[in-house]
Amino acid sequence: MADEPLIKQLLRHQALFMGYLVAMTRDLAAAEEIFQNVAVVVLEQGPREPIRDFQAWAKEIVRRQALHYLRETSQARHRSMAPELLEGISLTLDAEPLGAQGPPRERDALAQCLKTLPPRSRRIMALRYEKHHSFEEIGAVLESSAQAIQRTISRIRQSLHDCVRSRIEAAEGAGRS
Amino acid sequence: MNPDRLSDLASRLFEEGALSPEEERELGLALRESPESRRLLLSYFRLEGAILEQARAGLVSTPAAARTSAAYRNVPPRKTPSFGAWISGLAAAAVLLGLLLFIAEGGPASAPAPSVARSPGERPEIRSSNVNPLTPPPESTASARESAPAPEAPGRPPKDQPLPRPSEQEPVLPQASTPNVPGARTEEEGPRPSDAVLTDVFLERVEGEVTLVGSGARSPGKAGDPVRAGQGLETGSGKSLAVLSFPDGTRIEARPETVLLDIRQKGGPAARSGKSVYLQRGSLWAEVRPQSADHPFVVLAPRGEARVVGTVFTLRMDPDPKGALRLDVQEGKVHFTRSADGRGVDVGAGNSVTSGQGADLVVVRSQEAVQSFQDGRFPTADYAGTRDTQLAEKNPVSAYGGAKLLLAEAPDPKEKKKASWPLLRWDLTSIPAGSRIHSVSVTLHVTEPSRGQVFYFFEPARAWSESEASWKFASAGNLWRYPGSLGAVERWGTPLGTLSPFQKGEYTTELGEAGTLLVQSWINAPATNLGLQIAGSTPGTGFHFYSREAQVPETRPRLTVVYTPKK
Repeated sequence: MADEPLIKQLLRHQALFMGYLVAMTRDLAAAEEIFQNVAVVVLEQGPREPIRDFQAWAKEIVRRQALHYLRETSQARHRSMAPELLEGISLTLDAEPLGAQGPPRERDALAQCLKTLPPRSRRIMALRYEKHHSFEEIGAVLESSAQAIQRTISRIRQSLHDCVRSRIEAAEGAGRS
Repeated sequence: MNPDRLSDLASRLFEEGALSPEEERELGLALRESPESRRLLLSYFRLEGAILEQARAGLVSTPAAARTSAAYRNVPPRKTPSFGAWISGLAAAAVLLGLLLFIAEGGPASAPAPSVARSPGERPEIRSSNVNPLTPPPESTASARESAPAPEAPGRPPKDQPLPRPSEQEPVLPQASTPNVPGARTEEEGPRPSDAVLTDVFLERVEGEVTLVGSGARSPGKAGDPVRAGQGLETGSGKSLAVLSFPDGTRIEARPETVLLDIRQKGGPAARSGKSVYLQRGSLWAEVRPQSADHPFVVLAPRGEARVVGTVFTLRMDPDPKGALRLDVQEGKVHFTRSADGRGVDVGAGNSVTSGQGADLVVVRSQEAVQSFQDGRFPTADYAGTRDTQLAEKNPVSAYGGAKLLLAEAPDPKEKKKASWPLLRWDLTSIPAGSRIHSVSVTLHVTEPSRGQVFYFFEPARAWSESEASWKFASAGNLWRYPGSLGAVERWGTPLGTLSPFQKGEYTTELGEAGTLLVQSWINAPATNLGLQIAGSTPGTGFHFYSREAQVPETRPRLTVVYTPKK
């Protein structure tokens, strides 16, 4: 593991870092751009000196890039995130070691769970995540209000979360028995 | 927090404006308090990332039945080159260059390759695509980039050129969402955002009054403010605190009434030093990430200096101008040098050294100890020495020893509200009798605040039983001197500390001198430990907090004692 290229180690945890970045920025495009910056930093900085604790190092880069983005865009934002939440999200990133487990568990469970979504919900998620449409744009397509779309996406996310968790737990239970 | 509520808030975290400021604070406090909350949010992070990954592969709109992770092999290339392709190009170019140089020079002793001259927005041309984007060549990727040949026709790769695809086991590289890849900028453009972030020292956390100082200017310090090389900071009195974050994750916490000067990421006044700060006054706690032995982290102070290559330690100056500089090392090893005579000594974990006036610089076991008492957590996970209950006036003979939530409430005759006064006690017998107590604090997790109204800690009137204490009785058959306990001589004794929770969350009360003396008496004579009682007199106000029966150990009542163990 220690000899594995740093960029590969980073990408193994891409899903988690991307989730963290979306939570920090609430902006899918910004999250992707920040992650690219992180990848560039890892590529450029990594080999210059030995990294003793890759996870801590990578988390710190991701965290700093996110904070930098928030600082840079603070003027343009409607309002800043509550400091308690900012601290809580930061603590969450440090909550536990990332582990060697990559994203396939979540990915496979999510693929199954997406299939269970009603067509309209799936369309909303596709417009949001594949097309990067705003809530207003999705609302215009589906003849609904932006707020209703926002609420719907949160509910879909919650149901997907429950579905993924239960599938993973079921798979782990089956693996043990 | 209720798991359903937590999940609801977490699911709305990812959309701008979906959480109100109050809900943001509520979620933040829950994350701060509870590891379970953090684990749940972490699973939401993973989910959000996984959704994005599926979306990039076009699998959100068309989740085919047979498609699982294997589907990622069949993702059609996008019209624009992916970030992965760009990295792949770099790697491939480096491999080709290495081969060419090797052939041209007849061996590995080749001359340094020229640097790449790139224009803004340009990416190196990808000459080969049959290299796995996630497997850089054996050379370091950065040096490979630097030694890559300048593209003859700079620009993006041709559209008809097949892009590499990630394999089943390998994560998908992010797609470029903007045409400008930061890594392709030139020096003339100035530092990239990533560079700025990486070289910044910044204020990660600020509590109370904190001032940034430097170049004759002073400005209030806020969380997120960058700290320029050579700047300093001052913390105020009371609960003032500032946490400095260095790019490698090293953190320094400046405690109250502290002055740090000349904060530098590198190139400080100490010869060959990497990071450095000057502690002019006060104290700091530092968690230092592993540093190069050639470039240690250096804390300078008037009476000495500490050189660190990776550890956790506390450094404090005696408030007396002629006082000593004291170093306490919690983890790792720190080299301490006394300014007066240049003597140096290595101080290991659990030890301390003081600059002092003696001839020898003696390392001793750290004298000051900090011990918390909380059921299920401290001093050990099997500690169960807390006792708590409430004395409820409305049910004068009922015992509440098994309640998960305790209520502190002042009576209000107009509203016909009765008093409810909690009792708390911790078994402190693990602290040796004769130890010297320096400070004591009580931490409670408030679930319903008192809107800032003040409550007080008192010493109960007499010994009490958790399972039997009620408004009238301290224990079976033993009446309080006054119903509801409180003073043994007069009803309202000396307040030992105050608590005024204005919102949900954890509250810590530092007991005053009387409280510290009281705990000292408990340590010297454990039988005198009657615990503490909470009471207030502002009519109609009250707050709830978790008792020792709370499901989550972190939310149970906690007592923390700073003391010098008896030798």
